[in-house]
Amino acid sequence: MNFIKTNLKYITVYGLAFIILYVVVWPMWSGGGLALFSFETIKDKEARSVTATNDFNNAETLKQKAEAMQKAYNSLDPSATTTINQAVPVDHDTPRLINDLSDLISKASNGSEESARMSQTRFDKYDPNREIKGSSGTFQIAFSVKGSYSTIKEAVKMLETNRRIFNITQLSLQPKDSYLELSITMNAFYLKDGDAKSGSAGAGAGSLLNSPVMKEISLLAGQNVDFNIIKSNIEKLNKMSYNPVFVPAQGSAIRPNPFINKQ
Amino acid sequence: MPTFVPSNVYEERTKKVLPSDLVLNIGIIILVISILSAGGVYAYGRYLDNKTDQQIASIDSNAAYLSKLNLKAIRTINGQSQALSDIFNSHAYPSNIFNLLESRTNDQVTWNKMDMTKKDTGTTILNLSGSASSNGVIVQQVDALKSATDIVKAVTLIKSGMNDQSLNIDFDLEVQLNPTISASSITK
Repeated sequence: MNFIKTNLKYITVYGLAFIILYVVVWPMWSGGGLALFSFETIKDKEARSVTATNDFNNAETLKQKAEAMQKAYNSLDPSATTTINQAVPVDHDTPRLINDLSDLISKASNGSEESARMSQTRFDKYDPNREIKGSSGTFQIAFSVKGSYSTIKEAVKMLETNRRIFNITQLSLQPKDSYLELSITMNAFYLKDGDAKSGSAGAGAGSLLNSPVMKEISLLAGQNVDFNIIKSNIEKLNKMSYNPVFVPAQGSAIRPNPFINKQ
Repeated sequence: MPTFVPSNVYEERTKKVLPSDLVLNIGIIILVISILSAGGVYAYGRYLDNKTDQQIASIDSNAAYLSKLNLKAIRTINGQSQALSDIFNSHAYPSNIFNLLESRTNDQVTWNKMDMTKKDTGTTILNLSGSASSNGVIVQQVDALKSATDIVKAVTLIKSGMNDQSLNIDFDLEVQLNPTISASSITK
């Protein structure tokens, strides 16, 4: 007791210092020592701050990218969206497709004596196995056309260069009575909803960038949006025209219809 | 200087008190440092909280601003463009086959059937069934098709035989077409 009395001031000073360090400073810093309350330590706050700083920087970068993309989008020709929507619509749009095909066949027979007729249009269900890698939804159309050789040739040309793009995969031509019958199988394309969502998200789990719009930008950033390619593809669509790879030599004899006997 | 304290007492007190005060002073310094560090840690914590809150507010503000942009339209047109790039690469121009047959069909040959199939590998096969007046005409026909090297890669006679009714020779050809049938100025 005498020792305490004699050294009370030392015990008080050192004791207070110890208590402050052990019960206040250390627990606040890293959760060590004697924590009387549960609270966020400085280490936790630093970790949260690092995440927030990274997210803040990412958000700034994404904002700049989004602004640049919006600027580039605004600089597109106003008809660009219509053009590309006609080529690759955002859904199957089969009623319009059938109507357009029917019109196309009618146009092909313009000027000829007989009128071509389209029959047996068949739409296969979307088959993932027929999907073109990483891009669009694909579905198959099969139909037959009866008409003269010139009409059928014109119809095939028009299908090749149609604004809504078709990829002819099978073609069969056979004389039937006084006409030719053409059977065509071709792929048509549309933008699957999932296609536009593909890409890698920039925000990690538990990130502060989980707001829908920031996720959207992260997805866009992962898609490598290149407006030069977009412009180039739209230009190709606008320039799409009949362009034969094989051109017979000038002056060479031409059989107007090699499916009927010349002699 | 004159003093009433004997010099030996002064020296003795000095010896006892000075070391004890030093320990006390060090203790006080440690205590002050402890108090300051507690304040510093608290202030640092508040600084981190404020900084994080400001950054989150800035992210939210960016999100609000960006939600006004037409990002869905950009995403859609980009998806469509990517799809187009793939479609252009596989787009075929089978109307070239008509040009081929018109210019390379022998006068004594008539085609009875034509089948074109584009395989997944990109190869296009043309199966032709025709009727010729003689075997020599079939040879000429095969040679004529082979000469169209712009478009034809190989020609194979699959079968041939006399048609008892027409007395012509019916024959089947398999024509392997060059990938150029898929090419055009729009994909280049």
